[in-house]
Parts: sequence; structure tokens; C-alpha cells
Amino acid sequence: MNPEHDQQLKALLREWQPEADLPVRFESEVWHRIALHEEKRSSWMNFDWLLQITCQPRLAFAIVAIAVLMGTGLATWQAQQNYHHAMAASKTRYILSVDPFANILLTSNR
Amino acid sequence: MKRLVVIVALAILLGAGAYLISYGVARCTFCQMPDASDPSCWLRVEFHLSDVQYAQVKKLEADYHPHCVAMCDQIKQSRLALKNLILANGTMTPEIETALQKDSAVQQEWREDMLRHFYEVSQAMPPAEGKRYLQIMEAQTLEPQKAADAMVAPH
Repeated sequence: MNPEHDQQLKALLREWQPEADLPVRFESEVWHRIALHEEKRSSWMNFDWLLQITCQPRLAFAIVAIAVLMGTGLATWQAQQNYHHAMAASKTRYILSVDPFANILLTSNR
Repeated sequence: MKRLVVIVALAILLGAGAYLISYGVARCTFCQMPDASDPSCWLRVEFHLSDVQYAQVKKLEADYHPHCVAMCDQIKQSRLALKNLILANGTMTPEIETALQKDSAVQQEWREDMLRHFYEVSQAMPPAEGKRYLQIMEAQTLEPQKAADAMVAPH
């Protein structure tokens, strides 16, 4: 580019004043939109954090491992609960079979 | 995004697989579930009885059962007679006194018989388990109402 033209262009730009009418509260609206955008980016609900985690192999592995551990823990807890319920019911059946008074009390309670 | 879907799907799949396998293994660990059709099976599981001990307990149960049924009928009749007398009379009568005494005698007999049976069963068990059995069953003879309430209450 010609340096002379360049100087002229710079001078012209310095003199130029835009005459567009900006809407009322234009500046505050711009800052408001920027703030909203920032807020959206940092929100937990947009799952960007999950996307970032899954990009890291260690963290992705941790997610799968936690799911496996939770499945194992839940199954063991549920099996134990079922066992205790079955044992309690069995104990009741035994007591009813040996205790005539419990039998009468229970049938009169029902 | 595709990577995220794959990892979440893998986590759900492996988590569900781990649940199913662990549930199967845990059920096997607790596989000595008492037989619902046999009331005395609870003793075998709870007190870790051997086949010989369990056979002995079963024999004791079989001997005791007819007497238990007879006692049940006696208690029922005694209670019913007492209830009818109380409702039929507006005041304390000699008949009610007699019925009360009879009810107490029946209860006394029932408690003695049951306690005798508990002692016999406990002696068929290993000493430590026999002691634990007596501790559990003691409430049935001393506080039958409380024990019955505990049975009705949801577990």
C-alpha cells in the first residue's frame, strides 16, 4: 500500500464521526447480554462441565468406576434387606407355631 | 458430544451389569434363606444348626406341636368364657372370679409348657446359640403382648 494514501486514510478516519442513532440504553443492554452469556457458560445445567470431564480419560474412567461401585453397593444393600425381611418373617412364623398365646393375640389384632 | 454419550451409556451399562452380578453373588452369600413352608427352618438358619441338631429340634417341635394346638384351644375357650361373663354381668360375680382364676391357671400352664419346650430346644443347640435362643424367646413368655406387637409392627 502507498504510504501517502495510508496517511490520508488515517487522517480521514480520525475526522469521521458516525451519525447513526443508537437505541436508548444501548450500552447497558450490551453489557447485560455479555453478563447473561457469561452466566450461561458457567451454569451446571448446560453440561459443559460433563463434556469437559469426558475429554479427560482419567475422569471418564472415574465416572464409569463410580457407576460400577454404586451398582455393586446398591445390589449388596438390597440383597441384605431382602434377607433380613425373609428372616424376620420366618421368625414370626416360628413364634406363631410354638406360642399359642401369640397366635391368639395376633389373630385378635387382625 | 458423541464421547459424552458413549461414556454415559457405558457407565449405565456397566453399573447395571455390576448390580445384576452383585445381587446374584450377594443372594448366594445369603443363600441359606429360610424355607417359608417350614416354621422351624428359622432356627436352623439363625442358630447355625447342623443336620443332627436340626433333626433333634424338629423332633422336639413335632412332639410339642399337638400340645401347643390343644393349649391354643384352651386359651381361646377360657378367654371367650371370661369375655362373655364380663359382658353378661353388670358387677363382679363369683362366676367371673372363677373364670378369672381358670384363665390365670391356663396361662400359667401355657407359660410353663412353652418355657419347658424352649429349654429343650436350647439344649439341642450349641451352648452359645442355645443361650441366644433363650434370650430371644424369653420375651415370649414374660411379655407376650409386647412380643406380639413387635411381630405386627412393620420391619
